[in-house]
Amino acid sequence: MNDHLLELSKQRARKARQKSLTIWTIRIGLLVLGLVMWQVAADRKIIDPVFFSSPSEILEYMRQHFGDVMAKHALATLTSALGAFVLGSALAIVAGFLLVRSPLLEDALDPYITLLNAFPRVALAPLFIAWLGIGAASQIVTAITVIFFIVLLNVVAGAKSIDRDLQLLMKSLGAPASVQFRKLVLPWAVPSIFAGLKLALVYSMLAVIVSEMMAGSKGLGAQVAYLSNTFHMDGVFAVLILVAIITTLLATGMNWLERRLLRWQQN
Amino acid sequence: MNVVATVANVPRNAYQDVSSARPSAVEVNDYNHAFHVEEAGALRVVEALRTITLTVRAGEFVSFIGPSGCGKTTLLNVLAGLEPSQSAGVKVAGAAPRAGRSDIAYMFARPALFPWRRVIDNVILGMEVRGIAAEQRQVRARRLIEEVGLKGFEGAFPGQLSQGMRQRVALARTFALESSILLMDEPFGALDAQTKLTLEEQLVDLFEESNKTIVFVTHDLGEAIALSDRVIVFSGRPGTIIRDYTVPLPRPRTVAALQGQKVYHDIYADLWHALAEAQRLARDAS
Repeated sequence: MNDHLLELSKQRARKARQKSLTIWTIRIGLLVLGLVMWQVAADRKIIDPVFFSSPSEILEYMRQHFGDVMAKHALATLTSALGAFVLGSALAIVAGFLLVRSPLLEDALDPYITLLNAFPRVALAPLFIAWLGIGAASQIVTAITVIFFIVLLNVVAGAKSIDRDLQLLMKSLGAPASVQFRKLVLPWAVPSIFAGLKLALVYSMLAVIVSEMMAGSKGLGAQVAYLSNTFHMDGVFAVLILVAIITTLLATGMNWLERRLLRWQQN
Repeated sequence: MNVVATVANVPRNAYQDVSSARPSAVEVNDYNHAFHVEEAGALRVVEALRTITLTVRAGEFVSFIGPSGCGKTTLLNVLAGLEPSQSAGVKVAGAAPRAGRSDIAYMFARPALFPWRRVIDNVILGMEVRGIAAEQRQVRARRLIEEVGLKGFEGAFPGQLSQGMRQRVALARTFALESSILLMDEPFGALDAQTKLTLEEQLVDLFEESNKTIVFVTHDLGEAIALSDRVIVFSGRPGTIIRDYTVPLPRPRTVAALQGQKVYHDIYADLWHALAEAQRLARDAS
């Protein structure tokens, strides 16, 4: 009987391994196929290598140029993005809980929040550059305006969805408002806040890069703008790949943190 | 409230112990309650309770039963201070009801557990809010978890438990407060028959070894009889008391064993007629 179960669980584990192997084969196969097709198309001049470059050229560019200079650009972008992320999220979390605390204020501000949330806020970047000059300050402010509302709306949604039974329980226990906030409202809103923070991190990178593309000489965005204006498509692709790797790493880090913090959600 | 604690130190081995000599835990005097409901833009008054007069003595287990919408839960919520009382005729342990009084503990129909807290931390929650010392919280929580049969599940999250187990956590959390008056709103209403019996058994044990007063709202007549010293039967809306029945069953009780006794079934038949009458009157009135 036990042997039978052991054999069965081994079989299941084998099947699961096979399945994940298949999935990874498909994933890597698609990537390789895409790169090969790109390379062949460029070699045979089916696509114009001046505009589309080719994987081998991109690799060559990375080998030659990805050193200290690119690291400095990446660091500049990352510093602005993370700075904006921390500042913007903190402001949004505080503002969100204030709005939840005061329904009157929320009602009063509602049309403005809706308007500003619907507004394409990256388009404000030139204004901030004009006001604050070229550099980290204008980039950070642009990114904050982009992510503030994302986080704000998630905080409000989370803090408003609290189970009524739990609120009544706190009331019946005689919990003062500060205790209710600490023990119920805040932890209840954490999953929703996290969903907002994950988006905000990616959008913060986006906003900083857009802002860098508009003006300035430092940062990955500035590099993309410069390289594409001078028709260095291999460089453009190389930088874009770097951006993709950085944002993926950031998102993975957030997912890991979320899993650790919200372990109770996994059943 | 101190009176309740001292007087009730008598062992609870027979229902006769609950004598009129005891002070009252709950006093309701000619109480009316109405809701203002908005209907098609106009306010309408819905009478929920009418001329309720009732005394629950300290150490007594009293059930409210009646057709749905009869106001029994409203009355319980008024006692708990969760629903503002509409006259001065309501006294709990001699004082006006107020949410958050430390001598009152409330238990809901649903478990109302905090999903991010483990079982033990959920049991501790109430004590934490009420400011009970940390070491004492741990001791009480562990003892109650064992008493409700959840030993070994201290570290589980509510999401990993069955509905019945969750309600046991809520039961432990309620008793851990050691309030002298427990107000329970259909706490076992959502459970299957088997689980319900287990929890009723545990509640009877917890009640009989303590000296608490329990007011228990239910729609299950068998449950009301098996658990209570008195069953209060409400009429349909507006709720009035149509029967105040003292259950002549001795304590300590075993809920499962009662099913085999003729006297239990006689009481059941008697009260069932009263309830059916209430139901019929409610239907005729509407």
